[in-house]
Amino acid sequence: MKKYQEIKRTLSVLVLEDNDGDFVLIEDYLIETFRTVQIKRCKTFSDYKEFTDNPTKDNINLILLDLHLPDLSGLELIQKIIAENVQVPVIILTGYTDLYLAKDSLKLGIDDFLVKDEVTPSILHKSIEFAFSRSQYVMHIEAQNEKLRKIAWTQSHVVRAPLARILGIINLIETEKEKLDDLMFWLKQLRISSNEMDAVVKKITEEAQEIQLNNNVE
Amino acid sequence: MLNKTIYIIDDDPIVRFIIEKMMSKMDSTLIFIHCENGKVGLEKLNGHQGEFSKCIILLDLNMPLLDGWGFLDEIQSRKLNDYKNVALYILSSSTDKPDIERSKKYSIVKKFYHKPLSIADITEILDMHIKPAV
Repeated sequence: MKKYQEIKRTLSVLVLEDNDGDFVLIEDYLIETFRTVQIKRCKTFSDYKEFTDNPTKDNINLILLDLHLPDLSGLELIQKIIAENVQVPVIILTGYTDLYLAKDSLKLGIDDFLVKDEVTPSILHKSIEFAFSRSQYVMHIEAQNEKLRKIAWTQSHVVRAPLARILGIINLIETEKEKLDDLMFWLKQLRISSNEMDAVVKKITEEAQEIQLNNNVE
Repeated sequence: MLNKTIYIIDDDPIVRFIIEKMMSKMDSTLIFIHCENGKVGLEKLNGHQGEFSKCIILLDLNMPLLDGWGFLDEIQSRKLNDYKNVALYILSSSTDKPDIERSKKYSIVKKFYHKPLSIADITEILDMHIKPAV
């Protein structure tokens, strides 16, 4: 995962905006704040599709989205953009009329919304910085969740396997008054299963500690 | 009348052995067929097809070569009529909810048991499908 400072140097923004005046303004602000910024503009949703369908397209690390494109707008537009850009922060540019929709879209995973008439270079800069910080945080949590899901799976399948065997052997011993030979055999099996479980538990503990270590490094 | 056959499909030999011991205590006429994975299970089950007697399958999920899900997919893709004498139970160490939900998508699965099988579980499995010899 790239750090923000790195991204800032190589920032590449996709602006979905059909209005020329609004676009020029945003472009100016971006260049003022991030001198080396790469800006790609799409005027319509079909422009955007054409751009993203191109396999040799430049890597985009931020999207600025106007809520009214000629061929798609509002909620549907937001949902499509978010679904296709899970790892890329998206900031909405809106007028006063869409303020409610813009606010609601935060729940859908939009990082921020800016009211066009109020945008200044410093507001835009701050919003972008926050968006990156938030998206890095979210990605970090997602990565952790993935590890936790793996641990849960291991607990359920790998740890429970020897445990279930131990319980099964105990069931068996309880149901029969075996000869001593048999009992010794089952005791040996109990020891094997217990050792196996011990090893698995130790491994899981190590993995959990790894997660903590990773946190400390960052 | 032919004896009932129990297919134990599990990669853990100790687990298979425990199940056989426990079950044969309750019905000494049962015939056990051990399969160390789903692939072996399918092969041995193919030989069983056409026989009149009922059979019970105890299926583990997490196995090498062909796991329980792969086994179910294969069984399900065949005609269910071929399996009207078959009672299939999942027997897994997994207590994962997604596994239990997933198993419900297979109509051939009668029930999902967590390991180990208790006496009550075995009574349930045997009584439901095997009438005691008179």
